[in-house]
Parts: sequence; C-alpha cells; structure tokens
Amino acid sequence: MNLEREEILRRFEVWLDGVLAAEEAPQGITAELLSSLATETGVSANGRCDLYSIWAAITALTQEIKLQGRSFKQLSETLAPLADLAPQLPEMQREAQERARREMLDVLLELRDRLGRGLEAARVSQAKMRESLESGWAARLLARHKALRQAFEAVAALREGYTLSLDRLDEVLAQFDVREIVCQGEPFDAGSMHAVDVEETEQAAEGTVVEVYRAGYEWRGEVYRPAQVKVARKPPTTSAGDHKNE
Amino acid sequence: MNDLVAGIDLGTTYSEIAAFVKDRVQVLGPETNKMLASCVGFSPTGELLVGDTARHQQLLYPELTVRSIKRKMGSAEVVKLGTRRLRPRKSQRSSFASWWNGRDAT
Repeated sequence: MNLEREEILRRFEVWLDGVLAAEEAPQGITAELLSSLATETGVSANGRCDLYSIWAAITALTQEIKLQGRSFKQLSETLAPLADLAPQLPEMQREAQERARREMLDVLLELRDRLGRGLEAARVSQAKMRESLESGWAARLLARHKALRQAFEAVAALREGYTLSLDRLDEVLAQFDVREIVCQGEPFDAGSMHAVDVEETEQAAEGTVVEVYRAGYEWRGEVYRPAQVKVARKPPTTSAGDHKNE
Repeated sequence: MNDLVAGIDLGTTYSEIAAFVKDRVQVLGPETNKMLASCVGFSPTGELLVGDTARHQQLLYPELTVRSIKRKMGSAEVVKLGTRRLRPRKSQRSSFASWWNGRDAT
C-alpha cells in the first residue's frame, strides 16, 4: 500500500516537473525582473516552495483535471450504447448459436442429398449392368471377362460405400433430432411439402405424392426444410356441355 | 390491453412485419430470415393458409391460392379464391388487411 502511494507521488512529481519546465514565461514582465524571480523561485533551502510555484502547480493541476473530466465524459458517452445492449446479450447469444446450428445443419443435409444421389446412380448402374450381362448368351460370355467382373464389383463396392456413409450421417442427424419427412405415397401436406410438379393420373388418388424430388426434414419436431414432391391430380374431365360451348 | 404498433413492408413476393416489443423494434416472422411469402390460400379442406404453406400448394391448387396480390392493390379487380370472389373495400383499398377481410363480391 505504501509502495503504491510512493509510486503515485513519484509519478505526480515527474508530471509536475514536466509541466512547470514546459511553462512559458509570463507576458508583460521585463527580462530583469524575470531573471530576479528565477533566482528567487523554486524550492528554497528549507524545502518550502514560494507562492508563484504553488500557484503555477495548482493551475496546471486544475487544467489537467478539466481535461481528464472531459475525456471521461466522452468515454461514458461512447460506452452508453454498449450498456444498453447488456440486457439483450443473452438473446443475441442464443440467436448466434441458433444461426450456427442451422448453417451446420444445412451443410449436413446437403451432404446427405448428394450421397443419396450418388447411391441412386450406383444402384441404377448396377441394375443396368446386371440386366445387360444376363440378357443373352453373348453377354454371358462377356461376363466371364475379368475386366467386366471387376467393373461390376467396383460399382457394388461404391454402392456399399454410399450406404455406409449415409447410415453414419443419419446417425449424426438423429443425434441432432433431425428426421426425414416421409412423403412417398402420402397425402400432400402443404406444411411439410412443396408441390413442384403435378402428374395427371388415375393410378393414384388425387393429392397423393407420387415422387419425391428432394427429401424434406424436421428438426426438433418442426419442419426445417419442406420436401419437393410430385403430386397426383385427376385428369380434367370433358363433359358434353364443354363440347357444346366450343 | 396494450396497443401494439406494427409496421408492414408489403412486397410483391415477400413481406415483413415489425413491432415494438420488449422495449425495442423486432421483426416478427416464422423463420430466422423473418420473411413471409406474400401468398394466401385455402387447403381443399377449407383451412386458411398463409405464407410459404400457401405457396407450396400453388402449383397443385392454383384455384385455391393467390400470390403477388400487391400488383392488384388499389384496383377494383375481383380475385377468385375457391368458391369465394374477393375485392378490396372501397374505403381502404391500399390496406392489405382490409383486402383479405373484404366481403364477398357476389
């Protein structure tokens, strides 16, 4: 504690010496008088200051306090908006976390879509290869060829790889409470599905989803991304009255 | 009962609404982007649909969905919505709310 006090006094003394040394000579006083004052001013032998030195020090101190007060006021005005934000900080933090989660979820779902498309392409390729290899005697003969067998096995391995990756990704999504919206064969629901295509058919009931173009997902029990689907609709019926009008 | 003052930005494609809530202006909306599709409609079962939900069914049920109504604001054009025919009130043609609270034209 004493050390701090001594340090404060020392710094104050250094500052005061600097201020007094840089002070300009009073205006309107002759050089002779100034030189006589200079010999008389300052600390005397008994350690006391003269009146002029005390007055100069007090003036400098007053000016410094004024400057410090102005700086403090400016600082308070600058920080005021930040103080107003304080009550909103928890809400802003929650919103930032939510936004970060959504961005991560978008990436995961995009990844899942792409893996799904890759799996479907591998499945179709495998089916076509199998079909062509089993279609005739020449093809069966070719099937014995080593290169063809290897290609078939490569597609099968690719398909298995996609399946494993998708399974793992689905586990991660389940941990985040994300699940795919089941659409195929279900009645159209505008809340969770987006009708991007319509098929006029008698094969399915009106308003039934006949194809899913892009999977939809629920997060925490609410629709996060609606599915893009094709929906069945009854073909328009032409009545006798319509022909009459034509 | 407190009066709630709200401001509506009615766009042709999307709209936004903001209100003074909890000592600050907040944009209200269903999603994080706070935008509501400027679209309304009825489901085949008669349920009122607003925003994206209505937009999702537009291709399937165009006769039950109305979109981009802003372009018709101020006009006397009658819009069909299922069995209803709606037109803006003469006194408040520029009000979105009054448009949809308007009486049947027939």
